[in-house]
Amino acid sequence: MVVALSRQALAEVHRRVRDAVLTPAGATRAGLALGRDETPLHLDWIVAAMAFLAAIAIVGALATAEAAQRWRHGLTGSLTIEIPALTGAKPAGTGTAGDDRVQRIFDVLRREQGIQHATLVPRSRIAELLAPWLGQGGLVDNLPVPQLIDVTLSPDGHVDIAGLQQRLAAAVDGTLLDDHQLWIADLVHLARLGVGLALAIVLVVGLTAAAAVVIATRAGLAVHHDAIDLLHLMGAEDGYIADQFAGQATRLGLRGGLLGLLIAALALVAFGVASQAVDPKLLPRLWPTTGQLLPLVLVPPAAAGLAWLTARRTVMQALKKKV
Amino acid sequence: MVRFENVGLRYSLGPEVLRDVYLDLAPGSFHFLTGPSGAGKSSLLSLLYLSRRPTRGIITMFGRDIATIPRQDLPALRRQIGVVFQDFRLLAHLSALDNVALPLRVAGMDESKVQEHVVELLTWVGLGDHLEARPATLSGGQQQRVAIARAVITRPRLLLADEPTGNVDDRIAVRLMHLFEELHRLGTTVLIATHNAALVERMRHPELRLDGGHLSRIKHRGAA
Repeated sequence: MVVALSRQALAEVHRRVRDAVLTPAGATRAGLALGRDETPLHLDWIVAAMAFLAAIAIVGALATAEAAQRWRHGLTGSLTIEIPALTGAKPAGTGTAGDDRVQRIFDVLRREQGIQHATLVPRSRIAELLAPWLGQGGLVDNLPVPQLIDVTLSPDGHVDIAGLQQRLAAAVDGTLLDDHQLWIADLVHLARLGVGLALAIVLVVGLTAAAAVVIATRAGLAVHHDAIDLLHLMGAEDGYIADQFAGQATRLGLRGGLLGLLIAALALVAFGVASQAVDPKLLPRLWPTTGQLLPLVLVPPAAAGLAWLTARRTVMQALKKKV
Repeated sequence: MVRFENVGLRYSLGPEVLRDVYLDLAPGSFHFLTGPSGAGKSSLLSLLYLSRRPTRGIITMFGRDIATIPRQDLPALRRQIGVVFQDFRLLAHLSALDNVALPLRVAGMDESKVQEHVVELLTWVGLGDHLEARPATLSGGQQQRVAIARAVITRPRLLLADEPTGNVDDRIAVRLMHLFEELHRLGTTVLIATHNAALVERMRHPELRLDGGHLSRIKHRGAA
């Protein structure tokens, strides 16, 4: 009994989808020539523009989230220790592991639990990092530049950051410990803002598309007023009429969604080609990975679904006011 | 079947186009509705096919007061009524076959049965060779026959026709009237609005006359 009912329900769904979405000619035979009226609103193009914006926003959100994750992975699990330069000391003589102050810091680190390894950043690397500001002329060698130690934490280890900071400062006065938390927190906050903004764009785009469907549907109701009256007089239920509008909106929504996605893909390819010369570390990767494709692939069916729901609801509400 | 009690109808704030109408159509009855142009025939028919509600009075159809019928129950009621409009109201984008099939599709009939019924009826009214013709390519008389076929395809309990023989020659008019008679014999209640006095005289069915919004009953010799 249940199986028979399910089959019947499935057959009904299949018939409705076939008549309303897949075969416009069949839908037209249901009474309304919705594909043929000359309404000034090209709903498929409007949906295409909205789908394009939504796809770009989704790609932006995914790229931002991925970049934030990458940054976070790169920075958590590590510490940077900054040993201040000695005032009045000869800069060229500093920056070796043999420096007494550096040794004192390494001694503290060796006694500390949860530290995997620590490396003194070579002076040449510091010079590289400062080159954008100080140039390549060896100026760094003549300046009192602090020394840096990169510390990698054990994956399962726990380090008492505040305590370590105190012990380091006791070993060498003025030593600073940076656990990057402030930087990470800022980055994560920024990334969350970016993702939130992208989702807000998707929401606004969806609402705009829905508004366009409402306007197009109301125009259709006005254009086909007589035919709708006739169908009512024949005993058509509101749902019978609403299904025809919903079917037409679904076709246009699907077409617009596919078109918008295609344009977005072309735009991303063009962006990728144009930005090849830029350092990949600077720009987030805008071409989606396989795992990120799903939200994009969902854009056309989501556009179609939104169009179906909005059109059907609009018609049902409008017809409720009739006799 | 249909009962009007003290029914009045006005459009917006205008004068009443129907006044104090009392009407009783018994199940299986056949009536003509006559009257000069502007007398209110189309308005009366629009109340009967539930296109509008009266300004005052009580209308009972199929045993239900239409003022209290919930909106969602109207489709089922309307499917029991066949209407032939004076201006045919055929859908221009549909073929003759699809126009006639529309009430069956609205009722959710299986498509294979739809084709069978419609082809048979259109052949019967002499349009077997015009199944795929669009209304614009048909003559006035042919369009009228499509409109009549559409109205009777569901074998309605109540058939309302507004000048159904106005655009056809006598031979076709007689044939169409035989179709209405046949439906009547099968139990359909028929009300035909017409200017054709000869037809009313010949068919010998009770005549309802509308004049200035008032309805009166004229019984012909030998009428049922």
